[in-house]
Amino acid sequence: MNKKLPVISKSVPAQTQRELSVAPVKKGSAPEFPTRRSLYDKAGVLGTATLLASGLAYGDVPAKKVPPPTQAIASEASTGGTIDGKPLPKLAPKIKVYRSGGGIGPAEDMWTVEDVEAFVSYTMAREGKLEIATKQKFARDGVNLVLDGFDAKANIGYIYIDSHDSQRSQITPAVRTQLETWRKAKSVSILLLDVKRYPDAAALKGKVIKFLHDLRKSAAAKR
Amino acid sequence: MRLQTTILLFAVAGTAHAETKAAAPAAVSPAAIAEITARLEAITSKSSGATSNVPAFAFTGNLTLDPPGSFEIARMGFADTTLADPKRTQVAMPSPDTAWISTALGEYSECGKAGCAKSAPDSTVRAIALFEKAGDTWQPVAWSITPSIHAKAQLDAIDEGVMPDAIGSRTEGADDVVKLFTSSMADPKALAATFANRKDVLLQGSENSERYAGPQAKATIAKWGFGFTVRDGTRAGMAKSGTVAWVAANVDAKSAKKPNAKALPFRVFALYEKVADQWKLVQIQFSTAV
Repeated sequence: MNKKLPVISKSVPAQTQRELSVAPVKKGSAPEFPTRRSLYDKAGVLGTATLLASGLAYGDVPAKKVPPPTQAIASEASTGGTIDGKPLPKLAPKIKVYRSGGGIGPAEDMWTVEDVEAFVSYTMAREGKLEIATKQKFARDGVNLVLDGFDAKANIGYIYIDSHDSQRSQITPAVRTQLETWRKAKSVSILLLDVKRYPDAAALKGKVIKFLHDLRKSAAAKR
Repeated sequence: MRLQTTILLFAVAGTAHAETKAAAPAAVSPAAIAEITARLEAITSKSSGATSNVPAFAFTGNLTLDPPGSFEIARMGFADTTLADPKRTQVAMPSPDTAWISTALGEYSECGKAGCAKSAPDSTVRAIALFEKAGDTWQPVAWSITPSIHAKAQLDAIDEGVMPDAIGSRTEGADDVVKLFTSSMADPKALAATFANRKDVLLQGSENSERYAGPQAKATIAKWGFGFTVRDGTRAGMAKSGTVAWVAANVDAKSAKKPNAKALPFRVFALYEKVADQWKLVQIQFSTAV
């Protein structure tokens, strides 16, 4: 039987490439432990580096980095409050006022009542943590009203009227007196927002917050 | 963005310091400016979860709170997130434990993907706040954080006879400052003379655009020519350092040129600093209540 045996005459890589040959270890070195002196030396170098680093750090105190908020998180106020059973939108509604008109007369400020009411409902629900239902029929003491926003549980709501609003004619002096009577009796608190010239968001927000704050104060006084 | 803000704030603080070398106010480090600005932003951002002492007095939006019933009440109406406009931010620190800041705070209900700093704010409020260090934290002493009300909405309020809530008199150790305030408000020239001679002295009118700093502040208050009469009380207080005092009052403004014109109601909040035994006005803000 012919069997091929390994050819031993063929040179292996270690033989052809001398740099790959391994030399036997003739002498082992003793293990080295750090001496006290070397430790001091190293600590000195490290210490100086630390001092340098900290010196630089303190020499030019970097401004405290406060990461800019990337997203407005649900707030203590915005977690409460609903409009028509829905949670408040993340983005606050805006009142768009633009100049329009022309023709013979001068241009005038224009806006939509819906925009303003959406803003007021949002502000009232958010700041008062109220469950606002819009366009609510309300009848009491012989007075019939449509409230633009009302929380039936808290008995708090509002009516918004302006020159663009057809509801204006319904808010007679007698109705105004009745609203005041209810407010004083603390039976129902309805804020009347009567805008004659301009529906300024800051002014409307200010009025809503003042109204809610006064309610809170009088409730606290009652207790 | 933050770096640019820091550089800008440093520049503001630096120039303010250079101007007032004679009065030798403490230099404000960029770190301290950033810290106080961040503290104000945290206090005025409802989403921050910040806690704070209740200030002794606050004009918060349309409210006059003397004192606010709680921290929650003190910040009624503040936005979920606020960011100080670096171009309109000034911080002064007359002593290591006393500081004031004036700025315009952008209010955001949502910031979008780019973040608040790159978004247009829903609205802006002007802020002047006096802080004091208690332990490691800056706590508010008093503030005026109010929006600008549209002139036509102001007219509506005047027609309706709306007046700001009455303010009672209480001075809490700031008697000299109150005396200076009440004696100078009626005469525009006398009021201008109480302004500190420093670059960061600030006058904020009731409109957002009415912001005047340094010599312009002094010149503008004189140019307006209003004589102010305190309507009810004058409320004041002093920082623990004894060198900074705050004053708040309701005033009726009458133009010296039109003495028969109807007086315009304003709220005013001012800060005074004591330099070389003299009280000088360093910040003043007018606002409207509706």
